[in-house]
Amino acid sequence: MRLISRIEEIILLSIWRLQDDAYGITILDEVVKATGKTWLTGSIYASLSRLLKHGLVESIEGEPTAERGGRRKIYYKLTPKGQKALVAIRRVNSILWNDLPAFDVDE
Amino acid sequence: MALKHTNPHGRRQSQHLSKKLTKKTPPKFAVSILERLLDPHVRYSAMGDFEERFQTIADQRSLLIAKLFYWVQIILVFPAFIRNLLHWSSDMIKNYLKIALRIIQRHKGYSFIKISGLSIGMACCILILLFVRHERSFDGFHINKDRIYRVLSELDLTHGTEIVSITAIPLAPAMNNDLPEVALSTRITGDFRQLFSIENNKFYDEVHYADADFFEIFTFPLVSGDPKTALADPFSLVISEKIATKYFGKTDPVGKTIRLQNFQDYKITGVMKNIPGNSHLHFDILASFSSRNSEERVKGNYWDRFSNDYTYILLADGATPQGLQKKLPAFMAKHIPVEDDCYSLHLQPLEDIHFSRINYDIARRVNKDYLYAYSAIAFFILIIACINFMNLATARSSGRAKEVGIRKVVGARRAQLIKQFFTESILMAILSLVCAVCLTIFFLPKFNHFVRRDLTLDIFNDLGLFLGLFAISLFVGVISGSYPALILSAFKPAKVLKKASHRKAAGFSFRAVTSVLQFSIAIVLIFATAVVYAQIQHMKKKDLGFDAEQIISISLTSPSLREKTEIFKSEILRHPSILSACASFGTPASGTGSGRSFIPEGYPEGESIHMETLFVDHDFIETYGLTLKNGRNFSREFSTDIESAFILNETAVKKLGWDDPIGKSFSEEDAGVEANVIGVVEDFHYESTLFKIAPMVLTLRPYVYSHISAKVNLEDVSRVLTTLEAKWNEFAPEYPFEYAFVDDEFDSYYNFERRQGQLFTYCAILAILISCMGIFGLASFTAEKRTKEIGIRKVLGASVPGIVILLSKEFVKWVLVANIIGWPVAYIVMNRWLQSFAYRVNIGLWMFALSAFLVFFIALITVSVQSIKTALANPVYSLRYE
Repeated sequence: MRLISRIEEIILLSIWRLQDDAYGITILDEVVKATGKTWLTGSIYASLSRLLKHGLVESIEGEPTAERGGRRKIYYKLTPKGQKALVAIRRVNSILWNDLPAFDVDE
Repeated sequence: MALKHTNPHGRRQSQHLSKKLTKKTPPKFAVSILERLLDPHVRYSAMGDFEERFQTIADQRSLLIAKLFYWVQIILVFPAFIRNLLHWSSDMIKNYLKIALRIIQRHKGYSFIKISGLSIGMACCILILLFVRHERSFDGFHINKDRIYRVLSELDLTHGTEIVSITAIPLAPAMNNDLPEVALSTRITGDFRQLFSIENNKFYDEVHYADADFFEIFTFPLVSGDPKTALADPFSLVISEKIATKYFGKTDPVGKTIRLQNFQDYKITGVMKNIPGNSHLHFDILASFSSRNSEERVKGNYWDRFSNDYTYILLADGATPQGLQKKLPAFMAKHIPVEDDCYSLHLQPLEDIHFSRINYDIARRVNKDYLYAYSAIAFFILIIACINFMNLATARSSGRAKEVGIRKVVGARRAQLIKQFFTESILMAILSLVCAVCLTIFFLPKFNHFVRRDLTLDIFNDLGLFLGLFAISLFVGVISGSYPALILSAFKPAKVLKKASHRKAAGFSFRAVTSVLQFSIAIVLIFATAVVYAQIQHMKKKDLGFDAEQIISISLTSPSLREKTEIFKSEILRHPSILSACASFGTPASGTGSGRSFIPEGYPEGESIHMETLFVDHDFIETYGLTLKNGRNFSREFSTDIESAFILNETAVKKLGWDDPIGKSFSEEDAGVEANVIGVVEDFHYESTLFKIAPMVLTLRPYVYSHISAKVNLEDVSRVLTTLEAKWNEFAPEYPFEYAFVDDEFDSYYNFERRQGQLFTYCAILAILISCMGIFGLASFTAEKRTKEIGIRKVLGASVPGIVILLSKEFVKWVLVANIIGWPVAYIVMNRWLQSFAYRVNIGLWMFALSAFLVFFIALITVSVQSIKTALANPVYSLRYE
């Protein structure tokens, strides 16, 4: 299976952390919180669309709300395939990070 | 929270939508942009998220900040979006380009015809564009250009009032003194040809005289010297860099002295940059006007004498030309108290001068009609080339139709096909543009010679021009690609694929119409060329009224020789090949002449008539071979002839309405001498045959003569010239010897018309060439399509000539129809052109016949080459080919 990219990893993790409350705005807020940087509102959708296409996440329609101009909220949820992808990337990360010599710079 | 699975692609509208919408909505335009940018997978959810963010900010901060946020979010996303788009579409463009290049390679002949025709057409367009742009840029470089006006005088001449650009000498200083609207004023004279001596070097050059403020009004920068004072003192001289190099080489000329006409020293006070090519004033040497203060005509302060002085003014800040114009009548009345002598003045804006059509002008001018005509011709040649492009595309459409069909079957959308055809035609147009620029660079020197300009093409330093050229090629690409792109792409694949081999080539009538148009243009151009040349011949062959061929004229540049003309004449007449000689002020075609006012018998008291006046000596009529119609020639036996005898030409007699002019009283106004008409000469051309012969008076006036004319034996010209020069050097060693043949001078009058004729010739050749390339392409295509048919016909016994006729018939028909359109247009246009000539050639039947025959013949040859080849082919091969 293809390894997911860093941005995809961040988004998938955010969605998993949010569980039932994962939709565009909350996901972005999680991403901002984790990275400590400002993101454009539109910057997650290219990745989201890709994840949808590859079947790593699925979308679920919520109730329409006034503040969304009458639109429904679209919640995102990890599929088993998405969870497997995260597990796979965690394995790679842990192998890479395990028993690393200390860095010269302050951590 | 009830969760429900949904199709992410859908934009399902909620039926049970709560209508409780807040009034705060994001900017509609921004919303629609966002909608377009977003990927359909996430569009719905993202739109909702954006709106929710917007509402949150609008509630917490303000609506304005929210709107700003919304816009900023969208604008910031653009660069990435475009990068993305290009990345994905570049593959498709690469593919289009590849296909286009393949098609160009596969059909080398057609591509060559298309590209070379288009390059020629574009090159014509670029040349004309450069020319028109240059003409429009005239005088645009003056900083004060909006405030500079030229003063024109409206004079009562013999044939009614006429506006001239020459003004009275005292006008400029008086306007500056009397009228607060005039900030500065200057006079500039026409050119005076003078002898310039710098130590031992002698040059003839033209000098103009101008007032001290000249360089304050006009922007002609000085390289050295002070523009404010350069022309202030008498006998100051400002020269151009060109003249500075010619006279002084590399040394700095400022402060040096030049002697004019061997008696007056002038000091050089400044060196100016060479006058740009787009200035209506053209001069290389400028002397201070105050140098002429001692001359009688300047001292005299004459408000009623006009010779060769032009007045320019600089309007004061805030003054309007209309306001100034209103004050001019009162101003003139103050200076010319006698009401009858008064005349009116007009102001001409600087920008109008280059296109004005005023008589007696120093300006370098161009007739706007010619600009339009040139532009039209260039445009038509470009149209012819575009037509080739389209015709070949439509002719090959059945072949392409198959391609379109297959592309559609494998899933191409119409938009993609349109893009592909446009890519192909734009690529060709851009290739043509590159060729066209090369052609332009190559032909620019020749074109410059035609239009007498110094145009340059520098596309790398000239963004506007570069963009203009690019726009032309895009335009041509889109126009010429529009037929295949829009019509071919609409073909229904099933129909096309099923019937491809039986289809008649699409757009037949369209091709017929456009080919007819092409040939009509070619016919008009050939007709125009024929008329121009016929007119030139007509003017050249026009009987001048005297024999110009044998006459050499020598200009009397030496003042001392002017008083010794009789001795000089008798000296040169000793040579056996010099048949006779005379002196005169001005000679035919020399451009020099004068006019005087006369009081003829029978005119009411106080009235006079203005006529061209030629000052001659006793031998003028004999030397020039003028025919005396009535009366007698000037005679040395009557000493009174010198001041009291006049000979008129026939036109003058007609003008005066006299039946028997001999002996009638006719005297010069203000001369105070009673004089009579002693003879009448037949009309002769003193000026170009472009103009009608003017009423003219001949009279004796010793010591004012400017030329010696000698009638010589042409078989002995070189010895005669040696003798003349030797004699000249005896009499006036300090002045270089200068001569001209009078018939050459007359000939040079038609240089402009001749250049036009050449230009028309080239345009006609190009038009025919491009048209023929077009029908050659069409003919070879038709032949190719009908290979099988012709094979069968031959097998069944058709003859070769029969097949050639069969194949050529269609094209011949087009050419014949083209005549019907071309002839009337050509006739109307050229008839109008001829109106500007005094002596016009008749538009003859032969001109119609020539244009028709030439186009017909060339078209026939072009088509037959292909038809004969096809007709001669062995049917075995043509029938086997499928």
